[in-house]
Amino acid sequence: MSIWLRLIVQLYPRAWRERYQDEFLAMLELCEISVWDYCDMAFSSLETRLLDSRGKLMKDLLNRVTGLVALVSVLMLLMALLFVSDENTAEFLLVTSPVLSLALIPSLHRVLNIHAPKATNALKWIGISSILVLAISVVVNNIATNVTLAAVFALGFTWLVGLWLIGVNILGIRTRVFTRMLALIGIAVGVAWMYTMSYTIIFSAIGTSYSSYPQLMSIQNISLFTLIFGYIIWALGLSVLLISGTLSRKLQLVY
Amino acid sequence: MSVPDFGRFSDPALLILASLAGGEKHGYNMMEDIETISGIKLGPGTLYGALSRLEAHGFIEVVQTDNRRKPYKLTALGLTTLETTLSKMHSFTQEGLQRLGANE
Repeated sequence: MSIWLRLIVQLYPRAWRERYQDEFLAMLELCEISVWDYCDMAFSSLETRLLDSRGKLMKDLLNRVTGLVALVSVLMLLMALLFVSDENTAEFLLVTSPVLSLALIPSLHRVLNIHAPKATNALKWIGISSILVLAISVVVNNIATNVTLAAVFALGFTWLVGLWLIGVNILGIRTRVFTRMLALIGIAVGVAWMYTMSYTIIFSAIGTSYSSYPQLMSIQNISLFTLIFGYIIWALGLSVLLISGTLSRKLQLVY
Repeated sequence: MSVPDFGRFSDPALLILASLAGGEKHGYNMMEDIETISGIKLGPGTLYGALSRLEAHGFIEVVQTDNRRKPYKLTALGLTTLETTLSKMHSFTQEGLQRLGANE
């Protein structure tokens, strides 16, 4: 194998060489390489690098935009809780904020998928199931007007979302994609979400008020506080990681 | 299904798919086969550039072997894509030839 061939193969991106170098060199051993073939390989290597870097730039840009959207959602939530006195505006911000934060999901899955594809895939199906169960709950509540059954499905949705949130953060720790503190806050948010929502759904279904159980009020308040402010810190941390490129750089490791 | 637009890579990609329609082949066999069926000699860089893109898009897949020379074969998607593309080209060629015949 001539030194020129080995040199020209080095022009290809590292990930390409890891996948194709061995068989490419094996093929070249059978070829009579002309000057034009050298030119062809040099051009092809530049082309591969160009396409490779364009793909990476797009992924990087997408993650940064996602981070920005998540940041906006957190700011909206903070504004609604702390600064807005008008009820309608506050309600609009409270409803829009979690919808915007959904943008985090594809980015999180893309990053985690690189490190743990099977577990990420399982989490993806938990997330998809939660949306289906929510849709069934809405249909049962509005069309069949069966409040008890709707509450059962709403509980199912709550637990699936909670499981997703806890699972993503455990995976974040195991794959070292998230910082440990951020992931622990995420797990706390997941637990608080499951407790707060289950409590609300069950009490609403049986037509009882929280005030009937004063001994549970303090737990409910702690849970609600953890849910709201924990979520703000968690989403804020993730958006900063995405915007700063810390998570995006992890994506650069794949071809 | 819509025919994927290979853009300016369409010729090498189509030649590779057509070559693999005759059975699995490794890189050097593909180069020789393509030259036989089309008279076009693909450079090694062009061939592997197109191969890697076709594999990334799921049109072809590598056949696992211990040999350094890895054979490739068409996937179901690659086969359907090739059939659709060639059918369209065939209709276009027939129409063009008919028009030429009408003008003569």
